[in-house]
Amino acid sequence: MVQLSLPKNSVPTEGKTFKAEGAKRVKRFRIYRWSPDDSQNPRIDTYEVDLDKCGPMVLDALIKIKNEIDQTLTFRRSCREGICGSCAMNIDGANTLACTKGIDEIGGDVKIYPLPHMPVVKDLVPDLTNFYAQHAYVQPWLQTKGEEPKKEWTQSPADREKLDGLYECILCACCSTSCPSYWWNGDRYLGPAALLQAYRWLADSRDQQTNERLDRLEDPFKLYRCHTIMNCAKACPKGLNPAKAIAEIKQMMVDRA
Amino acid sequence: MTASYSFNDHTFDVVVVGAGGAGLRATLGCVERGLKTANITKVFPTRSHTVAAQGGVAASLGNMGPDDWRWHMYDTVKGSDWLGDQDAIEYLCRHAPDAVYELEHFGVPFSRTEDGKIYQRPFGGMTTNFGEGIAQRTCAAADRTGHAMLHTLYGQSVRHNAEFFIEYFAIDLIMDNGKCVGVVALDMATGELHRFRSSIVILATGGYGRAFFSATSAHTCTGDGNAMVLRAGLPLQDMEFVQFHPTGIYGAGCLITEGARGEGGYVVNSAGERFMERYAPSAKDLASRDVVSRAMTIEIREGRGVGPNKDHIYLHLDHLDPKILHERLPGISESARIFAGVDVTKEPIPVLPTVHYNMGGIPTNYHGEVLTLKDGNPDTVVPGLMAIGEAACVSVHGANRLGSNSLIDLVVFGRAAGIRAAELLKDKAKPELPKDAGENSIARLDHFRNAKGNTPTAALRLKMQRAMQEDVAVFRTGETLRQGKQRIADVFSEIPDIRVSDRSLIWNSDLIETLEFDNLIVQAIATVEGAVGREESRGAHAREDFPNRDDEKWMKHTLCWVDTKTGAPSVDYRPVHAYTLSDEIEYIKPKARVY
Amino acid sequence: MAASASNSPVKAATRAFSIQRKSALALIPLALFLIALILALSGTDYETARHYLGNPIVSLLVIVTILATVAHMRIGMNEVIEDYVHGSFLHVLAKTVNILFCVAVGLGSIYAALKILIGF
Repeated sequence: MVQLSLPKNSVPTEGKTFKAEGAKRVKRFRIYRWSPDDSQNPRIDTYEVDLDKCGPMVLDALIKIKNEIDQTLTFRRSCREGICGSCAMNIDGANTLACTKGIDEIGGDVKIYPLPHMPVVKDLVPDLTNFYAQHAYVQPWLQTKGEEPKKEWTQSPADREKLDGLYECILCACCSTSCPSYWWNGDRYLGPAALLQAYRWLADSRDQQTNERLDRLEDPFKLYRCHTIMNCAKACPKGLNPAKAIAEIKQMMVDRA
Repeated sequence: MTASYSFNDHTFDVVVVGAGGAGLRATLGCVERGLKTANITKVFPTRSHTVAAQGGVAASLGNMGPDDWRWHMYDTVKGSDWLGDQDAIEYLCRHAPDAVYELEHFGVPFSRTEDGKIYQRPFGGMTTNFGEGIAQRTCAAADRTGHAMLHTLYGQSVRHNAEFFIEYFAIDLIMDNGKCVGVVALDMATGELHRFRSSIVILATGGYGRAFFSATSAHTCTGDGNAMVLRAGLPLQDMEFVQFHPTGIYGAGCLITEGARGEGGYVVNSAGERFMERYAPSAKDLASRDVVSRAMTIEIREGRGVGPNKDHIYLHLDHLDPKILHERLPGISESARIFAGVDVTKEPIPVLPTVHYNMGGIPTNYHGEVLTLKDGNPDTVVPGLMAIGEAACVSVHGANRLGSNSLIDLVVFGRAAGIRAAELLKDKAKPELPKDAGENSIARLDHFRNAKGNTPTAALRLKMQRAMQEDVAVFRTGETLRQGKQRIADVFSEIPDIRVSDRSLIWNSDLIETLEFDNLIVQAIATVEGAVGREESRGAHAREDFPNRDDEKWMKHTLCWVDTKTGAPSVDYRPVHAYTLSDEIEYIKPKARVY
Repeated sequence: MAASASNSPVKAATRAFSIQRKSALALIPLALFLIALILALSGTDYETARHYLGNPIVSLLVIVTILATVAHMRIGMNEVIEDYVHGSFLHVLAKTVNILFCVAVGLGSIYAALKILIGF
């Protein structure tokens, strides 16, 4: 059966508190910490940050904490402008990118956890190996038959427009890790991110392997675990709607039957 | 030396370090040619900074009107302020269209014209007929071209089953008598060391924008390959040429594409004046980046900046059709909303020239082979070592890169490196590793892992970034540069007091950031040294004490070595290639650079 | 795999999805019919109820409702089992019990409807 409660060694304990002395505008960041080096349970450390000396985004605060308060705090980050997808984490109860999430959008303490239901490597760094393998499974490349033209394949602006809302995905995993169906069956259900990409290629007028692509999704788990819960669309920091893409795939499945 | 480290050994034909646009394209090329290829990358491939490129990729397809690779070449030479090597520039511009068609065949979702061809937009410095008209040459996927390219190239790598070592941090090259025979990398997830023996190492490690305080570059843009080259006793080239992008968002530093001006946007000062008309009467807002950045800096300096502190400039897009903004510039509309709180359909975006690109890097020929100056030969090939992308200095960008020439650089020279690697590896035996292979990497890692000083890495890094930002800016003088040199030397001298707090070997980002800082500081030294020495103004290097270009004395590439133990730089020079690749175009002679 | 969409065999998962959707659609009017029938028959005596249920049209509609309900029920419960019951033994057992239960309910109900109709 699915496990609905945390195993004993995963229950977080109260950790250390780092005070911000002399600060006027203080915000408390309560951050999940876990290291595989010791056999301790995860803990929640509390960091006070002086907002007068910090940038506006949650990532700014995390970097400030790492630079000035606690160098051992571990998280992924790169572009800091919402396009690389590195700093996806669970902030204030929702999956999003730390770099585009404003601190002022959050009332009270800022609670930060790693993406839910993924193995944790350390602190806020989840292991995304399975997520990437699922993306690879949908064969994310253009497949055509016959000879390639000397120049470009032509595509009308209307056909190109069908890719809008699909190709912009940054593989941050916010959607998949917010999906209860993915939590219960992440090993066999491809999840919203991979399926959005599957549809991105199905919807591409240049691609000629529609039937073969659909065949790869035809099984009770890979596609049909989506129950239109819509957490994916709610979580997506790029405003995309994977649930709609999945519905389109199901429709294509039925239409060809 | 500690005995507690051991290596996991691997043997490959080619090891590519870096999985951005250039690294992925080279990896693909090598795999396609049957070479056993590894790709080592410190971030998952789609997180590489190519993903943030917006405006497009330049190629003379001629989809929007007549175009010719020779015109593209002329623009690139002029953009480079004649410091670019014209054989390499010819190679770039000739192969650009095929490289773009190849990307399209890979699946890049380019925007389209009404007749279904790839949409091309105007970009700074891109002209028709050798400077006469404005060219529409920059192939775009809305304003997410880098993202579209990188994800597509990653998909192709998956298709070809390329072997990736993801979240592996490359520490140092393995050199044997001046020949590169491999590389050592740290698996960040486990803390284990991996030693890669390979006939060829291709460095595709990107730029080092994070040597500066405010850069459009990602936090991961630390030029690790450049620093490995310096530690291997090889020089970097033209490091003084740092491009400031005119339109970084004020405060946040995030990029607003030049395509915004390509689609009709313009910059104004506090008087509401479109001041670029004064500085570049014909190209105006589409003059090349160094020109626009200098004009903006002068406006601010002369008191015509906007905002309460009069310290930035406005970029207007609010006169454009919201439909066009939605269709062609959706990404920057989103960035402006998030990072500047601006609705681009109604308000201007506050912008400031921001460090964006490093024209300098590892000197290579147009095959991607790394060069050094040895025994009087400025084109001596370093066996076993190649470099591509922003890490390399081919040099196609010379003293100033044109917008959208970097994405084409990635794929053209990424492809070239694959071709060259296959040629070089025909019936060539794998090199044997020297006895002490990788010991330098262990020493470096162990040193910083146990660094117990008093200064956290972040404090030293901030000092370096401030010095570079203030003293190696858009405008430079001998005085500021000498001051910058001293400040950087001071930072270097504080390294023995560095402190790494995280002692773990598992995902120790404190240690990785320290290794990255150690990489940045030597590049900062090379950058300042080159800038102090170059007593002229050319492209992005604007010396107020030497305001003119001096072809007589300075038509040459700076080579800078840094003794990474002492921080002492030494400089020499290489001639600029004053010849083209074929007789289909003549050498383009230097003339005054007016836009 | 078949090369074109037209002769591609319908796969079990899509068939289940399709039946689930179609049975759901069918059950909208059928459920309304069932409610109407129950309301109409409430308060009547056994003989009257039996008389109405013996009407061939009513009987046919009742049988179709039973079939749609059972099909929908089996797939719905199967989805729940796929979602939450993971151990392979428990998984197979649950699915088997589900099928047996649905078949039993279906056969029993149809037997009753036919008995009223034909009166054996």
